[in-house]
Amino acid sequence: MDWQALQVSLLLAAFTSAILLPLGLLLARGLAHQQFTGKYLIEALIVLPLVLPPTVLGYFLLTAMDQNALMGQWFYQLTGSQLAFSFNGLLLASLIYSLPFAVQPMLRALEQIPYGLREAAWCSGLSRWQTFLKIELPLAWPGIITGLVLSFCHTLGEFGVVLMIGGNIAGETRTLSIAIYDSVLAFDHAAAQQMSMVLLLIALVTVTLVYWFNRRLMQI
Amino acid sequence: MQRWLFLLFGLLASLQLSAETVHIAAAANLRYVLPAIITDFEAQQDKVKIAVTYAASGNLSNQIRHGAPYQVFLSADAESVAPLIAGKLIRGQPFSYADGQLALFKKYDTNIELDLNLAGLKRYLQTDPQQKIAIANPLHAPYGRAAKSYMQHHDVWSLAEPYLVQAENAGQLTQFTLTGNVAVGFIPLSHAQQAIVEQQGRYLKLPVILNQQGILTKQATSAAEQFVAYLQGDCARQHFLQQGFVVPGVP
Repeated sequence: MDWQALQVSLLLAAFTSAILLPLGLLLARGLAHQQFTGKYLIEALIVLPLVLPPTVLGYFLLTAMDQNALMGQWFYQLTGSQLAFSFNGLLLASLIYSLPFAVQPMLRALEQIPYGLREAAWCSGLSRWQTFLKIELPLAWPGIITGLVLSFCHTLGEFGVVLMIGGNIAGETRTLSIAIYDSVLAFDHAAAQQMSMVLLLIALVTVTLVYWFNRRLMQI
Repeated sequence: MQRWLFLLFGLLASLQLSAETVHIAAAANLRYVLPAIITDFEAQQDKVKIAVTYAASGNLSNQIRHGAPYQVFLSADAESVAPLIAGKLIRGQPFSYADGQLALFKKYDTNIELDLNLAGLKRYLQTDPQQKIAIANPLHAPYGRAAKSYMQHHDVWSLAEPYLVQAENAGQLTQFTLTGNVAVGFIPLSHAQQAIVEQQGRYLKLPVILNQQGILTKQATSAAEQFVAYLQGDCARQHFLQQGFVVPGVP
């Protein structure tokens, strides 16, 4: 059992979902009730990682993170560390890769709130911001939680992109899913089985919790 | 965000007893010999930890060219090291640590004769075979390249080509070879000699030697240099010899 890999995986998933929560909410709120030119393009861009093979995303990221490429160079000048083959690079990739899993449920939840309800809130003297906090957010909770947890679980199970841009470095980019692949190649089936069971358990527990939590929220 | 990351990592790093970690990129055929050498080395040094990443040499070379933070690269050939020398990404000179050998492996349930001229394989291929031939990907895995040129040399390559399965690296190659769907596999001798592999079939050592070279990258610390020196010492050589490698200068 590679505890270090579990640590990397959990950290990566936690950071990804923590950043995607406000970011996804912002995007979902911006898209939910507005009609503007280019809206479909933005929606399509958000969903794109869902339909693209991980290798395509991995390839683009790998070339973009090169220290001679624009993004890699910029990050290097900003922080003094390189993006490729680092935890930060994986985090960036996970943010892109898990974005649709965070935005989609949040967007669907916000879209279902009837316009009349928001209008009523405004008539009652609530500002747009207050309406969002006191009316929309509580109604959209199940979708928001689902988005949060889906992005967490999806990052935890990410394989293709990590394989392409991570480089399988212990303590830095070796996630649990990569460690499983690695131990299968090493004929260490006991370790592979153990780690697979850990991932299976984490996934089962979190998804069950979400369903339970959402059901409770709906009853109130 | 960045600051929190650093804080958290600082915390995690301090938990790990401030041992210096040397990151090594190693050819996948070293998977069964390196761990023992590393255990010996770490027992001698109290504050150095070696973390190894196994993959195909071509891939590792490519990653180092794109800035992967390895301090030592142990390739399975000299070709994968060449672009790093050309790109001035290495410190000092490339060194030899062990030479690899190629083996032809078949499982007990396939009836192909193993011979050095590959005549048995040729006969098998001419009888509309149901099973595959496993090699490592010649594009980036040295053992794949060696297998390809050996087959070309014995006029089997064009016959075998439609039946090839190509593995990502030597580790996956052995994995493929042990599945029931592969007739023979061109695997590293160091893998063929492993108990788990050996008990499932028979192998023939082929007269192919891969001059495995290593380099220190620009990021190498003195701990990395110590490990490389240890790798070329007598204890490590003993391990290499036991695991089916030829050591330069030792009969």
